[in-house]
Amino acid sequence: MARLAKRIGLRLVGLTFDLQTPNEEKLTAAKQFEERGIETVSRIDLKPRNRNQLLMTLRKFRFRYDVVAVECSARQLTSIAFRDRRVDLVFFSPSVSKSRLGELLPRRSERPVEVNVIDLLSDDLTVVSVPRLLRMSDLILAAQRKHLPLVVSSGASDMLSMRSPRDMAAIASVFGLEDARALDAVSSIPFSIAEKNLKKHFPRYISEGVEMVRPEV
Amino acid sequence: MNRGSRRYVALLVASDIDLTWEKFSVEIENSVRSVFGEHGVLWAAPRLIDYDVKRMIGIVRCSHRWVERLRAAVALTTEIDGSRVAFFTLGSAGTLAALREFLHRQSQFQE
Repeated sequence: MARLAKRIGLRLVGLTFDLQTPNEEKLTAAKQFEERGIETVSRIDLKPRNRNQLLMTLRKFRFRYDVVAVECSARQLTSIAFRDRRVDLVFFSPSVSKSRLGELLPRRSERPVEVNVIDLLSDDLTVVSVPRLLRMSDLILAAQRKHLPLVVSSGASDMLSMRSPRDMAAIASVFGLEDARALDAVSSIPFSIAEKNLKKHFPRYISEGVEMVRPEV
Repeated sequence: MNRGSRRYVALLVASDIDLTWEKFSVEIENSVRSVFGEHGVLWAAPRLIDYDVKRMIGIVRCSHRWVERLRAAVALTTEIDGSRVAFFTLGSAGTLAALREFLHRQSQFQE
């Protein structure tokens, strides 16, 4: 997977882990990519059922992972996920119907909405599902209308579900995203999320926008 | 008659099966057809120009206005004859020579 990732031009990958994944496993996975010159960030997908569960899991796991993504299935969750600064990405479950997407999105937010290419495929990953195509197109258009930044990911769990960044941008532009925004969705926006979170590992980092500055000796 | 500008796109194939030239050629057309219909196939005019079976890299010619749509269509292809497959665009160029040069230069694309 790492070899192919390098070959198709990926420079940064987000490795999604479960809450139970041991540290050794995370390090081994990251090492495979880093050996080939690909940067990695650890990521967790939270799928809370209610507000309290979201806040509790954020409190518990935020600092263990570089990127925190939250799946929103209800309006109550969405409004918190879009407002909470600890959340990096917001995505919607493929089971959320097309007609509900618009009402789940807030009017304006800096929190990017994530679109996974794998969500376009049927459950056995062999056929592109037409209802899911319509849903993705609707989500992209709704996010554009509400001025929300978009991130396009492959959502890959194996080699054959990976896609190159330019191909993912092409898919997004086919669904109505402007070309420049489609390229940002696979490059500058994900890079800025990773950069912002990796900065937190620096010893001089105190909080967002606050760093310890030492005079040169 | 002006045939319009063309672009050449290099595609890498990842699959469980060995893909023949004929199969690859038909699949490129089918992928454009499944997303953009017959009209898309007509305007994109995709055609497999070269295919290195060993390296699994093919070069497809298409209309210069359809490069991005061709990328999207092939990226949405997931299956051939019941076997899973994935296409990745490695690059595109205005001439075949430039694309071959690009593929040659990129040492990572070499075996």
